[in-house]
Amino acid sequence: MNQKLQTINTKLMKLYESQPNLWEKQKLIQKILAEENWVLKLDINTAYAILQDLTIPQANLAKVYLTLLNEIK
Amino acid sequence: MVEAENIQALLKEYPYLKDIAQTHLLLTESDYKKYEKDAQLKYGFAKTISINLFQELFLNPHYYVYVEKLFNDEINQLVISYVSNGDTMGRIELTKSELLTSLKKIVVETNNEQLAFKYQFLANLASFAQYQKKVAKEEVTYNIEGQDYTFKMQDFITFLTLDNFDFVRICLDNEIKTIKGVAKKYFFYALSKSITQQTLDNYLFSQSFVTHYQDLTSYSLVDYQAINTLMTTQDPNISQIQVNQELHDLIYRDMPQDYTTLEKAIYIYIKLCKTLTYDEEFYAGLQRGKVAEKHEDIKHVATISPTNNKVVCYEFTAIYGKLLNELGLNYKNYQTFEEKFGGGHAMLYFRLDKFLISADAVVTILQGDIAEAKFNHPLKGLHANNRSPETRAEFKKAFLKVYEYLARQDKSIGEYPFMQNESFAQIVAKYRQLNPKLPDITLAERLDILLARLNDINKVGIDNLTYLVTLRKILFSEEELRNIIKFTIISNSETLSQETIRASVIITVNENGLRENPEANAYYLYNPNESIQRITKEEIIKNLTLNIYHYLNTVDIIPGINYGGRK
Repeated sequence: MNQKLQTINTKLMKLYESQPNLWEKQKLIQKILAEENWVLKLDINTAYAILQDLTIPQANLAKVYLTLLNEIK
Repeated sequence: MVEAENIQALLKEYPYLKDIAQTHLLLTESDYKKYEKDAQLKYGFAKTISINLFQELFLNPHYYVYVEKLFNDEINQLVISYVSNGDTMGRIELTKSELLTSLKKIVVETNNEQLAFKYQFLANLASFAQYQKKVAKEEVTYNIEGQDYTFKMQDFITFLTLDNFDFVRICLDNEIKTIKGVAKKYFFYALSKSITQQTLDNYLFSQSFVTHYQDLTSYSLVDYQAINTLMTTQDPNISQIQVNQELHDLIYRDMPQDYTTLEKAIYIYIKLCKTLTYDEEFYAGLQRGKVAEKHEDIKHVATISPTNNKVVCYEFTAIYGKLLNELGLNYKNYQTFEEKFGGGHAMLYFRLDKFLISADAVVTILQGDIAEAKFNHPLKGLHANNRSPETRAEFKKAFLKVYEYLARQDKSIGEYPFMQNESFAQIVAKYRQLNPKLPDITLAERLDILLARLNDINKVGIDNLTYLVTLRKILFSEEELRNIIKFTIISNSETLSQETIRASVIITVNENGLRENPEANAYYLYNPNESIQRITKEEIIKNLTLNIYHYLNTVDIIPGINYGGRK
């Protein structure tokens, strides 16, 4: 799942190239996603905000979040 | 002379204070308080004295007696107190150098001739020349790292009076290995023992002399703090400790051959943390009973292996100490309460050249290094305690190098999150600044996530509880953890066999407040490695009544259950 999120993030960074504020946010998200087990190091509210910024639909947020947690061995 | 008469009256009233009055300048409470309201003179390190009282020390013959006592070395410092209901209270302390430095200031400000004369007289008694005259011909001998060395005091004085450039050069130039034919660090060690803070308090040294002395004794230029420490291992049980061969082989198996002794010591610590696990039965059993007896038997240490890997703090410490000893390092096993094996929380200190290191893998049970190392989380239990920041940084660098190596071997976790932890926090903080309004997530949704996750985790023993602590932290705010959801770890003997107990968790939830309407509290029982289940209040009370459940302490009790815990 994290890999999928990284792919979305790369696409969004390209898309936002001419929108510095949005691009900067994605740049920070890129760094966060690169952190091993990042989902265990953030409160759930910040993690959901990141998923929303990655355009994950509201209805899928819990499912994606749980998948990220499940992936940590 | 009102004060002097007052003091005589005091001593008449409390004759037993006569002895203390020999060494302390005693004032009446009203005089002392009166002086406190005066304009104050700052001196020493954040200390103050009334300017009037300070001047009186030299002008009032009764007070001046104590100044004379100080300069005649009859007392170490001038102490001023007051008497209240027969007890001495308050305390103003002045050393010779504090007295002289402040007096010089007052003389400059007031041009008082009498004070100026006193200053000249006293400054001469405590001058650098007087000090030099007193000690220059003295020799001192110290046993340093097992051998006797003799030093001339004059050599120490000459060294501290060097100009700053030469002083720093000699300290920092690694090519300069000796001073007066003795290892540089040994020379500094002997200097710090021969010239003490009391010496500085008693004489007027130049500012550069004092600065050089402080630079040396703070170990900021050269770290010799470890000299003469831990010359032997201090562990009464070392001869009885045996490390299991399988465990020994596993610890050493992948250790890089080119590691320094420091890196090896760090490697062994982290590898032990990754291999061993804290015994949850011991935790749940409140560190008493049969399980405690097992761990308190020193022979049990030899049975601890990669597969039989449940330990408690003193077993971890025993194994680590023994392995350090194999590396040729001395250590001190420190136990709270008693010296006997298992007599309280255990940790150890060891010395490795200049490094003074402490090791405590179980600072807390659920979040000690023995738990955190398995997640490659930052570790807190292995420290260099040297005062020198450079030495601590050197240790940290070696620590991170070894941890990174070990973390990379641990393919199941990934790489080395601990390396970027600080910068990660900064990145997240920046991200939050761009997202001032974070989404709200209902308690029900977060609870669903928690329950789903707990049903799925499959870690070893107490590591499940460590994981639960992490989940609790990321899913719920501190306020929620105070008011609407509570995790109570209990000892649970309702298990597979009658002989064992384990740590379970009761999760209590009430969106409207745990204490406001306890009848509506919902309870869940979590047994590690089993599915989480709802449990009724009645079942909990029954299990507490039948002693199947025990609280681990009398404070963390299950909300809404009026049984057990703090009365």
